[in-house]
Amino acid sequence: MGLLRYTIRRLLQLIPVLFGIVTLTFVMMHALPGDPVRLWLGTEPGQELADELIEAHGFDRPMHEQYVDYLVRLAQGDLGHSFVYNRPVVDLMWERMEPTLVVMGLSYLVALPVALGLGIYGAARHNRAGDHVSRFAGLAGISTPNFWLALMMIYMFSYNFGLLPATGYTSPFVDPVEAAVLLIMPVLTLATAQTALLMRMTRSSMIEEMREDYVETARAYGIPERKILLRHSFRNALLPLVTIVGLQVSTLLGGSVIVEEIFAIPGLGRLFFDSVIEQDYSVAVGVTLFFSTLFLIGVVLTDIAYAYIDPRIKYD
Amino acid sequence: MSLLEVENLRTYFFTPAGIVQAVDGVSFEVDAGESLGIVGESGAGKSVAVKSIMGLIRDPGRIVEGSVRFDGRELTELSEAELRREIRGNEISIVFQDAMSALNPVFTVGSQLEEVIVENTDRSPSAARERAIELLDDVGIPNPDRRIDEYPHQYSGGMQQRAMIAMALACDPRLIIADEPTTALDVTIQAGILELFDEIQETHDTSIVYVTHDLGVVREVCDRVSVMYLGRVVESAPYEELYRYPKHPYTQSLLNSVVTPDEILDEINPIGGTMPSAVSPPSGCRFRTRCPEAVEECVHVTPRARQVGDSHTAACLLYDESNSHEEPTLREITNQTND
Repeated sequence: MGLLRYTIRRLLQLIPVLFGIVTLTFVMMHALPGDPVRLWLGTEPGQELADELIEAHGFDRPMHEQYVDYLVRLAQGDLGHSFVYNRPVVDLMWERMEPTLVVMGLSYLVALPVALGLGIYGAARHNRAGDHVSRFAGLAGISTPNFWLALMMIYMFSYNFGLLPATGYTSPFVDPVEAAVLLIMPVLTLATAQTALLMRMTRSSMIEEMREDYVETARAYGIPERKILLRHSFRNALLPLVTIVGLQVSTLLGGSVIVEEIFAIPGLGRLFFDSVIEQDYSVAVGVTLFFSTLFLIGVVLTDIAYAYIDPRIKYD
Repeated sequence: MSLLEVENLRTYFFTPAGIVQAVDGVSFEVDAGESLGIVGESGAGKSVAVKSIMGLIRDPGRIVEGSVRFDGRELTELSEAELRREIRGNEISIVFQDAMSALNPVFTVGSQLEEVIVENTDRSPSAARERAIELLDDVGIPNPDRRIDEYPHQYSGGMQQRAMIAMALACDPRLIIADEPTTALDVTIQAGILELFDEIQETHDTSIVYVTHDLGVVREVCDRVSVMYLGRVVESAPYEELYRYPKHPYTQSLLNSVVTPDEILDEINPIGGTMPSAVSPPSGCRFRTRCPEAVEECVHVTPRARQVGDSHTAACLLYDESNSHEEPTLREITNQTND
């Protein structure tokens, strides 16, 4: 079947892209000024200890050797060793993965229905009061930086009203109630901009579709307006929306770094941030690789979704 | 009583650029089983007139005056829900010009037909599917049981239009409006579609309002013709009568400008000038700015439809008194002056 072959081909095409990303990140991390070992050890311990660490991690060898070495191990599924945590990067990332995926997943779960609902509502009430209100809210949502929103929420709900804890994370699989309380603000922070952007896209896409000839046909044949909106137009409006949803994976990943830092969530975003600050090479490259893979899979899924939504698109 | 009686219909569009008087006092009638052609240039208001019948005019357009009686029932007074449930699709259906864009690209032809059937009748979904296959067969689509599951883009242009016609037939309407259904098709395919309309009219005894700018097409399908110019009907007559004895100067010019294969280009007489804007149409007779017969009076007097022959009316001051075929027609006169 064409679609399966297409999917496999697209996934194979990701390999050179990921290779490029690994190379770039590797070079950039190593090009950073400063000595990671000294950064980590501080100034107190003697040169002997530092030398030992440098040798253990191979930092004394030429960069191209380190690079080839890294690639060989990467091909075997080994992302290297964190010298800050003194643990394999894979283990470290595995531990930190859950909070990030939970926050990201939940914010999608919040953003998608709200955005689609409001967008369709806005299109149905095109140029009436409800539309203007939702459009304004959308613009405000897009224009609000997520770090500012996060701080304002903490100020309001944690500091002023004392309603929600400002920081921390509990796995929803361990204690759902506590997790819910802790997750409200981070999820809302991440979801706001997503919702706003997606809502405006939904609205304009729907308005465009409602002007198409097939809508007039449906009206002329006695199809109820609700069905025209939700079935006929929405299916057509979905195409540009799927693109946005796919590309938003990257916005969410970027946002997760900020949100995890502000709300002290022990996730991949925070791990990445810390690893860059501490020049923990293997961790930084590993997380980058993981984030890139997530994003690229999002892009491939988008392309595949096209085929399901639009029968005119053929893959071969 | 005619099946459809449109009387003094005015449909205006209230745009920022001004009020577009797209349809301005149009009247016509269609008997049961009869086919009426509505002919005119682009922008004459033909489409708006027929869409007004079904209440399909959307903002900023509105029917500002006039009545549309279908089987004695006043359609302009029906609510949107009443029109939807009782008229659209089941009593009156419409075939649009561009079937490709009139059909929804993301649904199969079958599912669109089935939806119309289920929405307008009490057929079950499986019965609707059977009916849909039957309809596709009726309109001449080969292998209908297979092609029903294809998408519109997998159909050729002619087949898309046939599928559209199948939709129009789906609930046995008493009136089918065909809004330039063959304009987007090439001539050989057009002939097939016209034949199909003829066949439908004969076998289903359906009335048809056929909108076109092509007088040749009218000859194929229509019993009677109304000629529209800038939002008004200028002349109405049975086809043969109109073709032989056109009364209104516009109809005459229109017939003169028809290209026939044995003519060479120099002999065609296109109508001079362009149609004025419907936002600020000329006072009095709207055709006067391009009319070879225009006199001073035409500026001030709006001509009304007058009987000029057997079920033949024309709205021109030339015929305010006379109504005889004995006099030479204006077409003959203009032809003489051309020689």
